[in-house]
Amino acid sequence: MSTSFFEFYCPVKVVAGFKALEHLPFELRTLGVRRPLLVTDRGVREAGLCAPVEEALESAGLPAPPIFDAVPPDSSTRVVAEAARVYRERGCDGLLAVGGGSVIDTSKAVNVLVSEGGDDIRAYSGTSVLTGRLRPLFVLPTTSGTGSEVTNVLVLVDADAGVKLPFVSQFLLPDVAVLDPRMTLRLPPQLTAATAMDAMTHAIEAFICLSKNPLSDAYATAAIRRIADHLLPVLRTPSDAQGRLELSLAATMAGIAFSNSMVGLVHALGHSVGAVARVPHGVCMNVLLPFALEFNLPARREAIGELLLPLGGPDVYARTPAERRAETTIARLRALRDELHAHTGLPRTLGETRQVRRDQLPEIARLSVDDGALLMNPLDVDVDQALTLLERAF
Amino acid sequence: MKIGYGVQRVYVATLLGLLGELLEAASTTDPALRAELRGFPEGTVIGLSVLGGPAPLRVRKVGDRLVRLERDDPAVCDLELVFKHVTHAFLVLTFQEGTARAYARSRLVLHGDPALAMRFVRCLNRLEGVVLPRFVARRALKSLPRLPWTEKVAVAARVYGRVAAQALRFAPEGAR
Repeated sequence: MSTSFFEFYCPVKVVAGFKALEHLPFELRTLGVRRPLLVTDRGVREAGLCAPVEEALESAGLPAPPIFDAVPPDSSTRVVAEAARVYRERGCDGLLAVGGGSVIDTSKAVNVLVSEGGDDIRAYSGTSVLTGRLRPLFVLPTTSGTGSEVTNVLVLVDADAGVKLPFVSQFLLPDVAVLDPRMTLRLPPQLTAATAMDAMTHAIEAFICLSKNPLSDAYATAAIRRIADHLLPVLRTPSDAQGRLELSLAATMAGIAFSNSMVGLVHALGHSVGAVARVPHGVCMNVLLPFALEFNLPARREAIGELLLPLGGPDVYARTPAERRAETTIARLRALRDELHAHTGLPRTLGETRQVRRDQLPEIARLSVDDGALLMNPLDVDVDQALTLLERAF
Repeated sequence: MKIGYGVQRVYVATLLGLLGELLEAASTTDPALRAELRGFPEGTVIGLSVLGGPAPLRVRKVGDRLVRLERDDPAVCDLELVFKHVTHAFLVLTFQEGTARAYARSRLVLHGDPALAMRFVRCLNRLEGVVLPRFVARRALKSLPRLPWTEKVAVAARVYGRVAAQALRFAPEGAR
């Protein structure tokens, strides 16, 4: 018998679809929350995305929630301490995250402090440090990419040391994720493309890395199919609410997949590119994905070939000989990358980002081999191999 | 053949002890492992343990070496790899399954900094890559270290030689 074994855990209630926001008051009441702190950023608030949330609450007889809107794009330990102070001062009893990855991660971190105590989130950094359930956390994503609404991880910048701190624990999983197409309708085209490719990468790495399992595979392939079917149509018709919802569902499914099987080389490299050159995460994923898949081909040819079915559809899959499916999968991802560039200007190479310099590549390679994501990659990667890959992606 | 938990427990305890000696020896004789250790913060304590199992292996980084800690040393681990059951540790320590695959299969959990864990796993991989025969190492590792067999034999001889010398040094007078 095979010695294979897996675990799968996703206790997040997903509330998705038409008028999903209006389910929020019921969900709050179910978990006994009367006064949640709404955590967001100024961009989201100025785009008017907090207003429908407040209206949905007020129309159900709940008071307008206190709002903390000072979350920056790369949230830090200081921001978390400040938000936790506001939470305590205003007597809140739960958290409502309205925003993208940074807002959601900040909310998770605030939840750690207000549940476990203290003002220094760094004390809880690392894997499996938390020991108990946290306060209720409700997440309303305004992008379709990070999947953070269903993941057990968060990443923050240590404001003093200037390094990124990872936190991993099952207790970081939110209680409820609300996916309402109104929240992503006005996402700009390039951000729509970059975040969707982030979700695509989550799903693909979940499918090919060491922790892949039958349940995460099902979520991963369903996510890939949705992105392949709906991303370009949504870019052509940004007001396509159903298409937007499909992309949100894809991001959530990809999040469930990678939260249960982890990610690999693309993320290890992408985290380091982001840390050194401040390139947005989704852009890194879009650029690096085909190169990292080529690197992993010797160990994962069959799995990468299987991805052609959700990516290209049954006809393409059936007419492609089995021995060429892996290369065809990578070629289709490159074609998608080119189309996204044509539609939105999303960079195709590290050079096109205009944020990465060639002389930064050795530092990025050195950082990459220490990234925890590499543990789950099918192949080991040393500094020289990482550098070669980065040179090709430049 | 079924191997009972009691036997597994004795084997795991023995191998954890041997692993500690091999790590300590390799950290003084293998330049590649020493180079990896330079990236560890000074004084870092790393543990390898089994839930409800035998005494854990704990090592501390001192200079560019690893030094085993005594059982009663009160040091707290900065990084700890914990097998969920003795039978999971048995799988890894009989080299039927590598550390990365065991982690992928949720057989062990990490407590601490993932970047530090990556470096320590590379140390374990390097050690296994040089001291184990290739046919055994191939089962335990994602990829074998890229080094000529002459170098592999030389490094392995130095590591085992150091362990043997240490054993003799601490052996009772009559046993030498």
